[in-house]
Amino acid sequence: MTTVEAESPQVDLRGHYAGFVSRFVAFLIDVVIIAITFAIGGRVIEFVFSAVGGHRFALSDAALTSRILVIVWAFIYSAYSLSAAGHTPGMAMLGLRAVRRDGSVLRSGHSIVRVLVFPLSFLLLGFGFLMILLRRDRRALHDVLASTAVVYAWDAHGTHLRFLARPHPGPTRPPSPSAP
Amino acid sequence: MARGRRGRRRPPPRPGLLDSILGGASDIVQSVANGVAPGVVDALDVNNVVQRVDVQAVVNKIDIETMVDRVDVNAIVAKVDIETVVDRVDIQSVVERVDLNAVLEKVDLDSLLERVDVDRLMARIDLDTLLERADLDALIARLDLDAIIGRIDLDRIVAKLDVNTVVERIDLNAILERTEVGSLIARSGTAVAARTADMMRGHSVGIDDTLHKVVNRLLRRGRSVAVGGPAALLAPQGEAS
Repeated sequence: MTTVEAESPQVDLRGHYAGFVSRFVAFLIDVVIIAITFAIGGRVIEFVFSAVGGHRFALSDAALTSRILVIVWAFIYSAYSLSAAGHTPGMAMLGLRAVRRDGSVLRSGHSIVRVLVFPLSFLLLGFGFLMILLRRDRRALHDVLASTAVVYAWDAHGTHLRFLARPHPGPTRPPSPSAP
Repeated sequence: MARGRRGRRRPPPRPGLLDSILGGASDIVQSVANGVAPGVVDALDVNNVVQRVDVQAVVNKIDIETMVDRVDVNAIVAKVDIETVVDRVDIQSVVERVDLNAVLEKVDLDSLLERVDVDRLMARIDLDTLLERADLDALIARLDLDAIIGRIDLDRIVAKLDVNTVVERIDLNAILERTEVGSLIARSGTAVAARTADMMRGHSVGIDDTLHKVVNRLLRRGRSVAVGGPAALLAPQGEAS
């Protein structure tokens, strides 16, 4: 006599494609971190330039320079963290990891390409991100272009997530307890 | 002839007439007494005689204080083997017969505690021996602790405490070293962060799943379409399960 519990599939979302909400929250966290660190770094830059130049220097007075610096900082932040760890700090908080399309580890080249094509997903009113919802593999436009994917790296084995488990297609579906 | 009479020793005088009469009277009285006394004694009501004696007057004439003063109590006590006496006392039965609650109700604990020199008292008590002989569980079970505590004026006791002296005797540094506050804070901080991250991840995954169902329904994929993943990452799980 078998029980449902014994034949239940292993509840673990690791390695499955990450959903839109998790990726969006991770993105927001990364944006906040980039903004805060840039604000702090900007103050340091202003202080250094003011001390060296002998006159007051403010990034707010040089809008174009500031924008370029923000973009450069965001690129360094994302590309370095993806190359080093396979995830940005925001993705790490949400338990996500970027991998190559076949699931292998993301290399530096793919990380740089992924970060460079990332802005393209904003085009067409964010259609590139909408692809996460529409595609079965939940890959955004920049993922498709860079041949990468984002998966859950967090062990969602907790009982509070057991309802999220989907039985694998095939004979692993547990039999009904009322069945003879 | 006269000299000859003088030279001889005189013979002992013969009993006189008076002596003869008195001796005879004594015999008569004795014989009369022997005959009369039993009858008199039988006829005497001793209880009546005792009742007619004023005992209180007799007692009043006795100086009890003087008598007591003349008794050497210490000498008497010295002769008593207290250990033997105590050994022969069945403390358990004595304790069982005492209504402790009734006794304690009559005691003014506050005033009693103020008058007791606890240090001297404790120094004289062999607690180990006492505790070995007493069934403390049974004793405590019979005590109404709530009532006793309710009668103690804690404010007065606390007022007698010198908190500063107590605090000065505490080695705070040693306590802090033993509690390892730093590691405790680090561990609790890590635990809080991990729990927060888990909660955030759980909610996100839940919403992802709901959104996935909605999109599947809109695209007519069917609700049970599972979320896939790269084959290289899912293969180990499939083998494991």
